[in-house]
Amino acid sequence: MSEKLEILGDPEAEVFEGEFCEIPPHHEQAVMNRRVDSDQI
Amino acid sequence: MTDPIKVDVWSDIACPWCFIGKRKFEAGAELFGGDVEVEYHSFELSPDTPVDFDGSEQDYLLTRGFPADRIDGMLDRVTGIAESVGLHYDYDALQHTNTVLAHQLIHYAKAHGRQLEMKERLFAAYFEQGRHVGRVSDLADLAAELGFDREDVVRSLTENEYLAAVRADQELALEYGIQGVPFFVIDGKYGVSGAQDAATFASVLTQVRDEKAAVA
Repeated sequence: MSEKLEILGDPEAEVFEGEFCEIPPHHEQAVMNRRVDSDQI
Repeated sequence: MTDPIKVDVWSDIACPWCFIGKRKFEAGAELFGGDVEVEYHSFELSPDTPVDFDGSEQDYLLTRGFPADRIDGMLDRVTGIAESVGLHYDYDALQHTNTVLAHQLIHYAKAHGRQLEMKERLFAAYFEQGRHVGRVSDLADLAAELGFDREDVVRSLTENEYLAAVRADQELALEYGIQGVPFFVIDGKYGVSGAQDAATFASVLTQVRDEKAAVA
């Protein structure tokens, strides 16, 4: 993440993984959903 | 009294969490109660997707490497979370497509002062109504339903009038280091990632307002 931004929000929310989609590191343009709890989404 | 808090949101029409995040942010902004100015920015989750993807959402996810035996469960979970915020996702009807033209249409609407209206219309068309949002004719129909000049929309999309604006948004996302959406940049200084709870958004907005007031 850019140093331009200070990340705010509930730190616990970061473990809501899957509440957003994410670009996987192996493919800079194909974006998949991040993990939802134990699910891969 | 402080100026409205500017919130820049990167998202894609084809991202289920972005529509959910939109609802959660709106609920958070209502809880916050202050003035918020929202501007959406383009982010293509899958720019290599063909306009006329031949297959279901399950087929699409298979092409992306998702385990076949878990896809239905995953979609059920997303659908359930969407329902919890009042959205009625219909993955059986959803037509997967490339969204670059939809992003251009959002820029077109922004130029006419109606960006938020178009963003909402496209999300609903894609996730709830099974409408195609990748072709000029379908997008022009959607725009016309909102009262836009259909002929001018066709012209704009055909000429790729706002493609440079889409690319500029994507460049800015890179500068910020945004890798996932939805992503909220608040007051140009703070980042909030994901479809967080409404209370979290409200808390962040309150913090930013208080900080702005302290230096005013």
